[in-house]
Amino acid sequence: MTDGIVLAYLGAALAIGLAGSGSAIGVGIAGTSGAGVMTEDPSKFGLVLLLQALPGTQGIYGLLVGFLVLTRIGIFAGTPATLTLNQGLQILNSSLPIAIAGFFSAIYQGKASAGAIGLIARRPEETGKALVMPAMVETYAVLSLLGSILLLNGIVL
Amino acid sequence: MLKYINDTTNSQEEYGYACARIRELEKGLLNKDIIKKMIDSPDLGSSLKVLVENNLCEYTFENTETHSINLVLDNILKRTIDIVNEISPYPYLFHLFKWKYDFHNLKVLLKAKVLNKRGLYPLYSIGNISSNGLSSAVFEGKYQLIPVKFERILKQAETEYLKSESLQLMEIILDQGYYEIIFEQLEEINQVFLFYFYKTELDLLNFNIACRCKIRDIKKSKLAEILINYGHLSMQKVIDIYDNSIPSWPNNFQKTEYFSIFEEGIRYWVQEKSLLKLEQLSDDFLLNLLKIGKYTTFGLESIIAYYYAKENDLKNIRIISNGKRYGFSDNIIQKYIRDTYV
Repeated sequence: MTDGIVLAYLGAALAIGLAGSGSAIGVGIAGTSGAGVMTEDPSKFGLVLLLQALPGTQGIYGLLVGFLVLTRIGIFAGTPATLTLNQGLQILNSSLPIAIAGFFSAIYQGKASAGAIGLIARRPEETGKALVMPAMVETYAVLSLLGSILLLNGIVL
Repeated sequence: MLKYINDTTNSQEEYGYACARIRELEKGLLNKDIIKKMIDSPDLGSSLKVLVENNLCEYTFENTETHSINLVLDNILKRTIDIVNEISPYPYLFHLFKWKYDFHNLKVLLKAKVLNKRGLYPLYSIGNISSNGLSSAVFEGKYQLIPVKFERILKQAETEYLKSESLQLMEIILDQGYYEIIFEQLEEINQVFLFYFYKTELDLLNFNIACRCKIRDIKKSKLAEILINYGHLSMQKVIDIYDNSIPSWPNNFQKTEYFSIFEEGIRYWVQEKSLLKLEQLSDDFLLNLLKIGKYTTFGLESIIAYYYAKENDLKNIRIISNGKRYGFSDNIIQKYIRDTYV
């Protein structure tokens, strides 16, 4: 196995691992708040679940980039490409946007979701507005996903 | 209110569950409209019905007897304390809030003892110390069931009464003891907002004590003994202005956030010879400070705010029900009403 392929694997692992960890933390934060609201009013389960699920998307984006990296280096075809150190570094770098931005945005989206859960507890009629606030954080996760895909596609193997 | 935000505001994730649950519970708090409808009601019965009509079903009273109303309100207070205990990630808030009731019980029992009025006392059963333990300490000198610190404060208050024969000074000694215990616990807890809140409460209380002392012609040297330390305001400042006339006092606090309260409260005192407005404005100021709890998603501010808001609601309901019972006009009742949290 060449140094290049090792770095490519590291890139895929970081994208999946960091973004997934961020999502787990974010979903956990929102879930704790959701449990608080549902203790008093279980009928809000649907709305709470929707808000709790929002920080989970970063984990999916990370997994997507991980799959793209693995596809790009031919893992699924059964014939892994022979990568130079330079190519491996390029793949590692292309994974970093979603790994880093995915990790932090998921945590902060979890916090925004917890705040929004508090909002629907007091004012269920404002659910639309409550959804918009944590969804704003999603923008930056989507941008980092886009950045990762563009960087990955620019690599010549 | 935003100036009370500190480094720890909204950063204590362990309070996430509690804050969200509080948001839901806040729907059970009274708002200005409900209070107004209660005051505008023609009699006590219809005034209490307003609560149920507004879906505040926990305020369901069997009848309009004082005992029945007090029973329901006391149960609601107990339930609120239980909720605080249940949702707080740390038990300290639960104990901190309960000291107030221990000192209330102690005041009632000591007054009964020094005035030689034995019988049934309106004691709370929600303190940190059992009311039976307190009772045997006060009346029989059996101190085994109360903490050593409590014993010292109790003896100190009794001595003060024997010396001065003043119930008010005895109460002030108990207040000193209360804050001594609270601030000792706060040092252990080390929560910035709690410090800020209790220090503010103490500043307002100290000013109130100084006013009462001046009205009763208590000597300056005595004032220095009875003002309670730990607040934001320097005690020396209060002592220095003590010889001046009360109406001139607020000017010395122009640079503090209390200026408008002191000014309005003293203006009312000059006109009506009553400190009612000062007390009311002080309560409203504290409630306003607590409104930061409405905007906190991860912090203990929400729990403290909810607890005090509930206590404030119960106080308002008691004011309205007593006012209606004794036939006070709506305007008079309105004068005594505190601001609402919601």
